[in-house]
Amino acid sequence: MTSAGYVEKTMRRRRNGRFASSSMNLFYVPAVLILVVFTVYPLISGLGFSFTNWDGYNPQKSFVAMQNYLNMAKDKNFWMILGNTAIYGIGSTVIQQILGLGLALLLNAKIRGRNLMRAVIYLPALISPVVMGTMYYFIFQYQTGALNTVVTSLGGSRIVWFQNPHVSVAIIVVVNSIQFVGTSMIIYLAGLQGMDQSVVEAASIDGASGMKMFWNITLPLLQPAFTTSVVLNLIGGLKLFDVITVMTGGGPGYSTNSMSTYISLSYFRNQNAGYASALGVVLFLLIAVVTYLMNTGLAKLKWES
Amino acid sequence: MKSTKVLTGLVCCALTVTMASACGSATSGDSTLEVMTGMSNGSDQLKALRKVTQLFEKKNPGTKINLVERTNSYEQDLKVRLSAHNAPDIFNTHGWSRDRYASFLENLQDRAWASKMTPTADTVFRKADKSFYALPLDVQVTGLFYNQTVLEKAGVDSNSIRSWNDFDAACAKIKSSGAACIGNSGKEGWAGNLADFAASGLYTKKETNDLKKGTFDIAPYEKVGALIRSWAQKGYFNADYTSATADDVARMVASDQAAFVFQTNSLQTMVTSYKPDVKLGFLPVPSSTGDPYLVVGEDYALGVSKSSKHKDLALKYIDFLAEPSNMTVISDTMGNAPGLTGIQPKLDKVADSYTKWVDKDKTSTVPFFDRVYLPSGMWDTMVTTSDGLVTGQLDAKGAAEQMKSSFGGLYGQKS
Repeated sequence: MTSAGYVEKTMRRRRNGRFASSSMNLFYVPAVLILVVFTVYPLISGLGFSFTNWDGYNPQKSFVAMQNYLNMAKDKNFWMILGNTAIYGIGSTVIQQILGLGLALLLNAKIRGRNLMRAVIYLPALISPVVMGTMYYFIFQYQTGALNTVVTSLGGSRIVWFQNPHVSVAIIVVVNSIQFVGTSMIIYLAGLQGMDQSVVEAASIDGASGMKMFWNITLPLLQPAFTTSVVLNLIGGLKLFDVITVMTGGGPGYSTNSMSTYISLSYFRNQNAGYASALGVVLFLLIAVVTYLMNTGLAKLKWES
Repeated sequence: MKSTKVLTGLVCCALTVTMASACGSATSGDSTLEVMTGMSNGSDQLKALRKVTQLFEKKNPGTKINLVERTNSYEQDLKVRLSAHNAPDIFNTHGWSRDRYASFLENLQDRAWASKMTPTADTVFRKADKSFYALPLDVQVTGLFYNQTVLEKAGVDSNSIRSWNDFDAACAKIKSSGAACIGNSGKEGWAGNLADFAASGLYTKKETNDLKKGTFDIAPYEKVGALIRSWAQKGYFNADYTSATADDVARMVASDQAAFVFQTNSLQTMVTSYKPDVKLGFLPVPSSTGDPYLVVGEDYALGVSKSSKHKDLALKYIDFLAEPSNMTVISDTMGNAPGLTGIQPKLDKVADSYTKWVDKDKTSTVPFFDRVYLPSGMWDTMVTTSDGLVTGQLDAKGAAEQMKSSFGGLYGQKS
């Protein structure tokens, strides 16, 4: 090839390369637009509303500076609800990691019907949380609920499952965990199947097996999957809304509300959009800080034998 | 390569246009009216409204009325539409045409039918300057809704209940008979009515005036909370209060398992759907500061949006609904008193109670407490604090303090 021919071919490649990357850039314009319209703009405007006493629908509103944030600090319900949110986030995450990893290890083995079992466990993650909540509401319902039907058929008295707020919070955590345990399972399965088999084989030749293999080889190699699963589950748990709304409506009183349901309640029902916006800002900061800490903390985490 | 570039551009444009179109208006066409009815799909009310609407469309060729059914989030949907300056042409004001939505609605006081408003509707809908902002399809005139059979079985004479002590004694008897004295749905937020109905008889005139001026004193509301808490402590509520839905409570009343419900008379529609021959009635709410009273308020009412692009057509439609023959069709399905004169009330199971307390005894009436004395948006605090009292999450003082806190935050917004 002549020198001129080589240059011409290289230039064509570069032009094509430039074209390829610029055309690829166009593909994410809709995604960026969606992000700007539905996430960035509401975030910025929400921050602005949090300094007003807007009722959520009237054009009039006044600047109240930090009043909504000061009210939040004095609001007893806010602190209780913040605690609930932590329970929903951490509780769901812990349950989903333990069950998800256990199921992934079980269904990674060559057992009969494992594909069917994987599908069945993952199925709840595909349905709407509203549907999931409604189904479980009918299990725990007092008069004709499935659980009370079993209790009465065994000679017991019906139980008011949602009377006690602690029990209600626990039920919500369990229902949310059951729904999304399949997601954790899939993440861990992917981790297990993408594992460097040469390390596993080397450990096996060195005599590692059973729990020793699990703690010293499998678990450390699953660290990226663990990070992904924990962060996703934690964010989902902290934002929990649908299941609470359907099962308890946040009651009794305010006792099972999460930050998300409290924001909705303050905005639409209490007509306190300014306060709801301040709550939203706090929830955003909470999730951002927790996610950052989890990502950086878990990335540094190393399992040493 | 050129074709790839063109294809890429087209795909991106299509996706962007799809996004933009999703943000468009819900209405289309020059003579299409959007009516947010606030009526449930399949309900008798919506069927009646649809029947009358079809007549209007027939008389006005080329006109299309889009009747939008109620969703669980009706109020939220409406507020989002109002805040986005995208109000429907006509919407159900669900009790708030005067005190919340007036600034968004056309004044209807000059319509031909305005002089036909009943005296009760006048007190509920009109401002001091006589302006009003929605056509009343009915008016709530209500008290303590009850199942006559349960009272008879427990040996309780409904006419003898004149004070809260009488009510307490009746509840004790009803509880002994095996039924729940008060049927309520925590899940649907019905607990708010416990306070809303009782408060007017526990507040003095001075105390309600203080509320109107923006002062919330804890003491009178503590009395309201103490009353509700005492009912809960004595076990007067249905055992499944926290998980019961509206259907569950209606079924309990229909099957003679609950005596009283703090709900409006329109509940009878749901109850009779389970047991058509059920015996129902209502009685005035006891008062500690005067005579027992009935609670009156706006129920189904349609207002015309000020910003409607089809305002004339919307007003024409409202005028059509107000015609006696059409209003009768709608009013017959409401189970409440009509809002316009010349319409015969069809109150079915509670007709006898209505005749006794309203027509014969001329029982005094009070408005829904929260709509007049509390800033808009307090209803939900009333619901959650009452719920807290029933379930034991709050005591009377805690509930009153919560109300005071919410009052302080919302009073400044009062428009």
